[in-house]
Amino acid sequence: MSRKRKKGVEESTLEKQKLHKATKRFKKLKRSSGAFIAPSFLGVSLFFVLPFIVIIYYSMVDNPVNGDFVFLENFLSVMDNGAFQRAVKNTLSFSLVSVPLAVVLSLLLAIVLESKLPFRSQFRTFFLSPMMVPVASIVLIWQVLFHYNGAVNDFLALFGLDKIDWMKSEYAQIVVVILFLWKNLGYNMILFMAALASVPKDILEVARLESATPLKIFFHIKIRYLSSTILFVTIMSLISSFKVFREVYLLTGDYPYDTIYMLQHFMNNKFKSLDYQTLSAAAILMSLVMVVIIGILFLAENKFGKDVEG
Amino acid sequence: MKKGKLRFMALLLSGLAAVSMAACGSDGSDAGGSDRKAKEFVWVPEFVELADEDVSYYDMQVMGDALYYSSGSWNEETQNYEQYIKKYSLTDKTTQELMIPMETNENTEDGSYSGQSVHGFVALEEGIGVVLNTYRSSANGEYESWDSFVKLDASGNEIFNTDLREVMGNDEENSYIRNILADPEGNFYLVADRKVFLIDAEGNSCGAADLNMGTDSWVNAAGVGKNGKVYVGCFDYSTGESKYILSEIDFASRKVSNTYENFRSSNGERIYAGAEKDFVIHDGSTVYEYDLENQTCEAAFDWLDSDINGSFVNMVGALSDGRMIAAYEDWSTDERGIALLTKTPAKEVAQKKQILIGTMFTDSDLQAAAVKFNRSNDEYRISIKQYVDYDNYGEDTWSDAVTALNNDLTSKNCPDIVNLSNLNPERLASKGIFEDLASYLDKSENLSKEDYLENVMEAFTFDGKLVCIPKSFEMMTIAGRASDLGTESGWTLSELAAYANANPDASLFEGMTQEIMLQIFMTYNEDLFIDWESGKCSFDSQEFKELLELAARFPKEYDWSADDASEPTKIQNGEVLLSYTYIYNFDEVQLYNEIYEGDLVFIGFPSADGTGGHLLQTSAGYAITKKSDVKDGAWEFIESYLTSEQSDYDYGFSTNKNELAKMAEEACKVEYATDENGAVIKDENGEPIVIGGGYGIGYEDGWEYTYRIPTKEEVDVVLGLMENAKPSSTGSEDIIKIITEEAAALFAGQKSADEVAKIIQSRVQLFVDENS
Repeated sequence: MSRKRKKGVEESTLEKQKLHKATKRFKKLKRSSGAFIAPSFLGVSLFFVLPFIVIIYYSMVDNPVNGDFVFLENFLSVMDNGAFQRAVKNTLSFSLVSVPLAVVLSLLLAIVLESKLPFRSQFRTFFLSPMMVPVASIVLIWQVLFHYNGAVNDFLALFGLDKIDWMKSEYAQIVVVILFLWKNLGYNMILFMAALASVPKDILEVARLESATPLKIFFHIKIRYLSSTILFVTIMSLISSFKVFREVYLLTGDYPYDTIYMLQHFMNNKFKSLDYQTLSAAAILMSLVMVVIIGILFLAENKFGKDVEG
Repeated sequence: MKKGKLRFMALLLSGLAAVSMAACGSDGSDAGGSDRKAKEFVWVPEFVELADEDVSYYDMQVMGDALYYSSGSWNEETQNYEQYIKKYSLTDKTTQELMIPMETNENTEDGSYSGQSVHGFVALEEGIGVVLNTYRSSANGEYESWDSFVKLDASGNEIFNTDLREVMGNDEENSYIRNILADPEGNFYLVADRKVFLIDAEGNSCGAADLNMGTDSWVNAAGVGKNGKVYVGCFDYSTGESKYILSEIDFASRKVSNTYENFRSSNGERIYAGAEKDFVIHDGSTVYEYDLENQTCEAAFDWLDSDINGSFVNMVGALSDGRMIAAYEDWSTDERGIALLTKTPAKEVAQKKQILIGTMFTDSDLQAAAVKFNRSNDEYRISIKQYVDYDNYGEDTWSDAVTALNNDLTSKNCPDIVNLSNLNPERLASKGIFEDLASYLDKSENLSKEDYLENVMEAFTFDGKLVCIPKSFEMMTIAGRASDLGTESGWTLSELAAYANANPDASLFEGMTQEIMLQIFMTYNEDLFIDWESGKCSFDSQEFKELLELAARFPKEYDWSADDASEPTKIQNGEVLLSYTYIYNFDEVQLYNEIYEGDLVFIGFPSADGTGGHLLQTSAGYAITKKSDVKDGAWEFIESYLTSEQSDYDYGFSTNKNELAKMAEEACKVEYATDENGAVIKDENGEPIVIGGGYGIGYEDGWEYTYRIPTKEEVDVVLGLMENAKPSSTGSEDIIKIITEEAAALFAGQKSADEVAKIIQSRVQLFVDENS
């Protein structure tokens, strides 16, 4: 009994020693991790957190010079602004159309290129090539194609069709969607191809042995394994859709045709006219919307993809 | 052990990363705030006046501690203008004269003439080198002229004389010698537009070094560096953007041996070696030192800190004792002389509070006002920050400058005063950046609000706050026939269109293009198409489409060579109806009266309400920023600027009512020429000779007009126009830019007015939505 007890005491001391050692190691690890993280943390604090705090400050003052506190007045004024409303509407409608298209089309392309097609590597390179083209060249190509006197109108003229001012008419957003897809499909496709390659082969084989149709395999197995990639591609496409301003700006300038006036136009013009308070309020509203959208996407991913996660 | 080392490395690297980031931040803030930094040294000037009335300040040269300059005087005996080079010793302040042996000018009765003149010179250790131009014209009108290069010793004896026709040949592109230089070996370099012709110490031609420049480039400046080698500076446009290149000329190989970047263009054709670095140059406001080895150009000091208006500095060089020398000639104030600048620790100089003026461009007026203020004020000192970088002017330079100014206005680097020239005062004022100058005027003992023209004050009052007071203004308006348009100023766009339609065979204006016409139409009609209250535009209205079509009637580009008839002739023949008029003095009314044969009305630009629209264009206006810590000093500067007398070289009318009344009175004052006894001199018709007037304007077709002293009625017409003068209602260049951009398709015949108007409506509506 006493030997047993002694043994128990010895074991508990040993465990304590082990625990102590582990805690020490953990603390050391924590310290060294902290040192590794420090530069990134500093960088993020300096270039993201601090500016965001400055933006919050600007959004609540009357103007950057006076600095009188006006609380939510700028937010109310921004929401009431016709240009902001149009920019929100255009940006949302553009994202709602282009993001799903970018996800679905790139997934389809990845599936097609996954099968044993002739020239598949050439196709892959073809879809990736827009990533290698600088923005200035992309804009030049698009100008050559969609200018009023551009190649597309010349082609249409062969069939007796009238000229269309693609960038200054209701067609403008369609052109921008095409440009967006052309630029982003390749990258998304590669991500999906990698994800498709990592779907466990044994599960697919079992499904085939169980006489599951390719469609059933796709929707019930592949899609589930692809859920985290779909989420990632959607978030990346959403971010890219907000960044399409760069191409639109280079194509059409500060004040484009109203259907392609994006949120970034609004902010850019407000920056130029020294309206930092309006710009900041708009930026905060935009970031809130982004947080909500990304949060919803995470929830969706949790719901649909949790049964395949490690 | 290995792990320990790795951890140490990781810590070291993370530490370094953090430090480097901190350094980045520090650099960024320093770059913006350097203008406020206390200066370690200042260059204290000692002004030297040369006792020589005929001295030329345009080609002064420094050799050792002596200053060489050309001068001349009329010799009554020989009836010739004699030219000589003077050597002024900066140490013992004595002057030596070196007469240039030249042929005497001869004019004979048969009409032939001949003579010589000095084209340029180069100072040498002993003596000088001179390029002489010889010209001969025979009685039958045959004219010839050539250059020769003459080397003279210290006593003026000729050492050699080389005919430059043999050196330069018939190279028409390089026939003009821009600069003459000499290296320490005694070789000479005659710098032409794109070549450097070489002559050795004995006067023999040694060929030419080709600078390999395109036809759109030419030499900007040249000089001998601290190392004794000869360098030539020029702009290179081969890459599509202007880039300043400094090229080293190698005498032996007759080639450009090296090129250097980051040099700056200078305010003068001759550049000099610096005291500490290879070259010292200046751009009219700042003096820079250039280092050949590192190819860096660093600011040494601002002219303003030495109480010198850099716009009028013709040369700057270094003396062997480390001082700098500058020659200046300010034709607006008649100030001229030499300044010897000594580098002095700032703490040894009386400290003053700094007032920083932010400006897009630094012009000579601003510098003159700042120099005058700095010299007279014991408490404050003006310094200037220019936002536009002239030397690297590209597509984005202007927008970069506006962004930099905006950043400064909202940060701790905010200037105390902003020069509103070329900026949008209304937009800046709406951000609450500026002080209300009305309160300063109320407190001022020298000025009051009532002293200034109401419409000028109104033009710069936004939300009840007066942001600046311009000193002078000019007007643009439209002149026409009173018998057609009535005697009163003012009309609408529809009336203008009706007038054009009623005269289909005549052109509305002479020399106008579609784009200019659009701008004229929009000058006062923005409110016709934009309702800022409701935030709605109506650029798709029929009225705007008609305006576009009216502008489309004008040529895209005016062909000035197509017709020999002048605008006055065409107006008098009824081929042209209206004239775009620029009124900057009281003399212009008589000219237009003559053109319209007494049937004149200044109808003005068409406006939405049909009132007279004479466009007000003001001079520089200075606004005080709210963030300034030296507002009282800033106001002192503005007050000193506004109360300074208008010089003879100032354009436009004074905004000060009293000054304007004086100008009006002076303008129509008739003064007669008198002899030494005070008796009025009469002409051959027995009429007294009037002083003033006499200048004229003439056109190729023979139409000409000689101005006389304006009458009281004519002066009153101008004063009447001033009452209705106002700035353009087009608040933003963005709107005009959108309209002209889109209208181009209509003018090119590619789109209809409907299509163009629809796009303009869409784009301008965004602008209005953003800003309403």
